Amino acid sequence: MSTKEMICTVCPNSCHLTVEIKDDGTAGTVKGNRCNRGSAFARQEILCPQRVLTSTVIAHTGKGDRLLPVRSADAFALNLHAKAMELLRHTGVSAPVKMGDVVIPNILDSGTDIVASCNVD
Amino acid sequence: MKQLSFDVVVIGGGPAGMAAALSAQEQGAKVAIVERNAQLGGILLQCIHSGFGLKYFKQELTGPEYAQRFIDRLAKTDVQVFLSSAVLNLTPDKKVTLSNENGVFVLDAKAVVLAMGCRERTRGEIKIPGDRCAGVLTAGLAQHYINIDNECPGHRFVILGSGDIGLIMARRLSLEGMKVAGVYEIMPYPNGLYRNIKNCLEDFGIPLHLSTTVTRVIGKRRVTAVEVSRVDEKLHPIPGTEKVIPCDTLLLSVGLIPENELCLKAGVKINPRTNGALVDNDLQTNVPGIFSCGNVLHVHDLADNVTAESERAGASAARFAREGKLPAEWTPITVKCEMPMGYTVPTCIRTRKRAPIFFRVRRPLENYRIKVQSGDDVLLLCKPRDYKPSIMENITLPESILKKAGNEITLTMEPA
Repeated sequence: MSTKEMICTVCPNSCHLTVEIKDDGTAGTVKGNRCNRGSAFARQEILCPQRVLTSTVIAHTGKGDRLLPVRSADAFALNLHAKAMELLRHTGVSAPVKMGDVVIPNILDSGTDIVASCNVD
Repeated sequence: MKQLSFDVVVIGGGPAGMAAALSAQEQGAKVAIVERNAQLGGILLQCIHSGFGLKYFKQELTGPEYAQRFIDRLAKTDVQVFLSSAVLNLTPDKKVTLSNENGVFVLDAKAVVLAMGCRERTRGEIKIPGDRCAGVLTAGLAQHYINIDNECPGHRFVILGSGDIGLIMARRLSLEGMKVAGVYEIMPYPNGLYRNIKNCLEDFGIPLHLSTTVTRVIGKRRVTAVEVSRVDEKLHPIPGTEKVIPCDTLLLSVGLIPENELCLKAGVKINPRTNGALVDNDLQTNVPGIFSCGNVLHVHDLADNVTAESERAGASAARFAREGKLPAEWTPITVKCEMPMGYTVPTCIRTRKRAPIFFRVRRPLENYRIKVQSGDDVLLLCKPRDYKPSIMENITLPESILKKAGNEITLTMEPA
């Protein structure tokens, strides 16, 4: 058994976490977190780091093309982000778009959708 | 010139202006927002990353999502929005002159909320020596090129300054396939929020060099390299430590300055410590009926804090418009601060009920506590903890302390 120090990035509180690493590589007890999201973050970080991905795609509108900001609805595996960016680079949508509209469902089988971040008329 | 009358005119349609307008409107005021951009949202529109709304909406939102929620709320009200409109003048009797494609208008306001935000410090302000070639730009400008204009501002970047926008841009550039050679910070500690150091640099293997700065820009027509040097405790470059880093673009993330030119025309007094207006606990400036909030008042690190502050300013402005003045039942308490506390907002308290005071420390402090004094009387000693200059802090003074305060209090930080 060993321990790992990390800082929680769930919210701006930035709690200093001490995580016990069990012999099978998974996380044991987590100390230093001020809320439950901190321990969940530490466990996931040891297993497979997950992040929200944000980028832009082209939106075709009546007044020409513009960029539509998009996000992954939830965090997904960081090691899939480069591949996801490649998909987004070749993605276009047609206006009108509403915030929350799905742009790419279940991207790379990650279980999360890429959705629009704002309205485009 | 066409004249229009409003209870409250809000200058600026970013997060501060939208929140102030909504809160004034909820109090029954007839409100107008003047925004120079073609749409509401301000800088949030180009901040496509997530991290907004954790406090205010209890949910992690991107900048455009955070803005859209306020744009949607405003659309359901009768707040009049003047887009693509530049404010040319603001007078002490609260006449706002604006210009747009329909001509010049004068908005006659009972109260005005200043919510113009801030702008980035540029190369000229930090005086980097060297060639005057293309390829030196601020991080926020690069963000606009990439996230709004779909333009590629360079291929191989050096970022000077570890402010949040610079860190966010390091990740954005990496995701878009550009190379970030490194982030250089003159101070011995990073200037951005920790989660941005982790998620924007460490995740992408981008090195952060502390106590190091750019000492020369090299290039004929376009940047071809920058020279970086280590600095000593006095932040002076150490001869012999120079290193040349090849790059075609230097991004600057070296601080923000409140954009307060309009205040001067209205006779609003500026606090040299924040470059924003001097305000009381109602966020009223020295000019009765002119209020200030958001990044034009003092630079915030979280949009959620801007929203909360601006809602207070909007409510105060609506009250002023309704009653013609704000109640002054008590003699004002002057709020002073001493280093290493850098500033306080407000600098004057006119209530004895309770008053939140926002401040920043000027250097990282380990195990320090806040001390509130009136003359030689210590009114309050807080629990010790660590403080960082990158995080805006606040302390709420309760009635029991304010009633003992006399007409002046001083806030300091002392080691426990």
